[in-house]
Amino acid sequence: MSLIVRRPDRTALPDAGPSPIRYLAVLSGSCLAVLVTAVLMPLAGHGVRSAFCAEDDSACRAPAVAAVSCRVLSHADVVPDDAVVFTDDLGGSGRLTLSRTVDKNAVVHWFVRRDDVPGSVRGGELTEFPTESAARAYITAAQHEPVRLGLQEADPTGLLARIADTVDGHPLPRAMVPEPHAYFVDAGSALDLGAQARSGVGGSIISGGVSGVAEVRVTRQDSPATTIFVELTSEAAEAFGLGSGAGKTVAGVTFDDLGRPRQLVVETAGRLRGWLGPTAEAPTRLLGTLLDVHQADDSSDPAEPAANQEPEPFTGRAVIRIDLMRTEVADAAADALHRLGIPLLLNLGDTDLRPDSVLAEDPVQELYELLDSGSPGGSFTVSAYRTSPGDATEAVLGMQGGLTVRGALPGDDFYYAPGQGLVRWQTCAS
Amino acid sequence: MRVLITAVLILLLAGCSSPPVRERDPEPLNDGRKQLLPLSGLKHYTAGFGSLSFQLPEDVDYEPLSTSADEQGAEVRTWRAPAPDGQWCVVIAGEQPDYRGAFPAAAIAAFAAGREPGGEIRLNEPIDPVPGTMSGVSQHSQYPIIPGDLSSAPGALFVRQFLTEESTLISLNVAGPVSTIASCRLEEIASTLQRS
Repeated sequence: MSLIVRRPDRTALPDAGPSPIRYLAVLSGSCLAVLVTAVLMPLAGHGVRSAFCAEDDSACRAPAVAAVSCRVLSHADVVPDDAVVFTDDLGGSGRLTLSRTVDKNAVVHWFVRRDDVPGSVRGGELTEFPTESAARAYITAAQHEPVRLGLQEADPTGLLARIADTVDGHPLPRAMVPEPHAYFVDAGSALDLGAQARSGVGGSIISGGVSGVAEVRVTRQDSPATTIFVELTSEAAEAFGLGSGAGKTVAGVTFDDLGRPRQLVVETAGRLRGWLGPTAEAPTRLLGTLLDVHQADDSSDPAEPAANQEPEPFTGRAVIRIDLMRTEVADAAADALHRLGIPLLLNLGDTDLRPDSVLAEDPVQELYELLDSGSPGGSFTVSAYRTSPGDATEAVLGMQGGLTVRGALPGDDFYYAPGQGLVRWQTCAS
Repeated sequence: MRVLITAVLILLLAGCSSPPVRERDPEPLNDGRKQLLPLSGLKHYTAGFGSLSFQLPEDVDYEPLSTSADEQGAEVRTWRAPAPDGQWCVVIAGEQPDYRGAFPAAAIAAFAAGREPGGEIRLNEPIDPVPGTMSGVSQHSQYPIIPGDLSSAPGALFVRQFLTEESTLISLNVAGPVSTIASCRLEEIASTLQRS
């Protein structure tokens, strides 16, 4: 007996469509599915949009950072402000960092840095947005991108992707930002031997102060430039006196498209040392005091804190910015880098590094004294961070000038801005 | 009969789904960018777990200057030979194990910065990997040796880098005054970096 049962009576004719009953059944089923998915499930707390969120997506939760509702600085309209709002590792979407900057014209800029961009060999992207809401919309779109791209790959017809576009409501990040403000390339602490070799042709080889090239940033918009960030060795980092051993110190030089160095940044993130000198009316060497960089003969200065008063470390970021078009601070910075064995500014400063050459005893201290005296072309920023009860890292504030910090949490106090003296710093409730 | 046809179909499908026999990768083509020039009296130096080596000419007085290793296990060796006017020809070779950066994208981006006004980048592009490596880059630039003095004789830098299959970054950097490119064998030394 054959097991194959032929059912010729159920075979539709080639030119026959579905019966009205089957058509009605399919239509009713589809409408029911849409009704349950789009209306009933969201009412039960399981919306379609949440399906696009990964498990750790912070944008699908309440904002991790409480909005700062008051003016942080009494002089915010003239003092540049730089702060990281939050950073979050989102797995398949990469690591996203939202930061804001207030420029000298009191214009607020919002930046989103996206590391480990899927499908990109460059490593990361930096994009500027005019508003915080636009930046957060981009972050949400980036978080949804892996699911959207997965649907595109799974369905060659594109139907699923179109449905996802409609339901999600967010364009893909590439549609929002066709050209990022800058690219980041992870250099993986590569040895910078080419710079060492160049330095050795004319004299001593400048080396020993760099662990490796950490990152290369290529800016395309506005004025094209390339910034090379190198990670300093612990010995070179100690010379700047920014951190307390934990964390990393990097130095970055931005070169324009003609190879001219335009800006130097020395940055430390982690546990920092700092305090305010007791005589706020005379901020002499306040920057050195803040950085815990002391000269031996300054112990009698009443502006200096007592030697037995060790500052409490706090979590934050300290950034020194040098305008390399300003001769005085640029030469001092180049001398400091040369002396520390950092081959970043080979064409500036005193490159005669023979043992009998006459250089400052401590070029870093000389640089700090220039900054502390308000010499044009230099700025110093300290950003202090604290952790909220929900373990979400949030920025308290960041500003230019010698920042007054007592302990781990800043309070209402004064800070020092080069050229402006002491100004009031007001802490906002978050 | 049906069983026979089924067996034949299974065999055919199995044959189609198996990966094709991979032919041996051909040797990288010499596209004219990497000429292995003859050197007289060679010293042979090995880098990168014995996978790559480069050669220094014996008729140029390259003296070993230093050998160093950092905390991450990277080893750097330096040679130097005197050049006219108190200047030097410099050879720096480094091998950095367990390299995890974006190569050669990061190397090309960093070299493209130039770093010297008046400098000129003459070559900065990927090259065919030599056997035992995954990718490579060749770089060449000229730059003012004396800072800010664009009228003086420039210097020349030749760089050859490879990322080995063991994720070791091999970097050979040769620099000297332009007038000594031939006498110090600057370009020739860089071009000798290859599989041992």
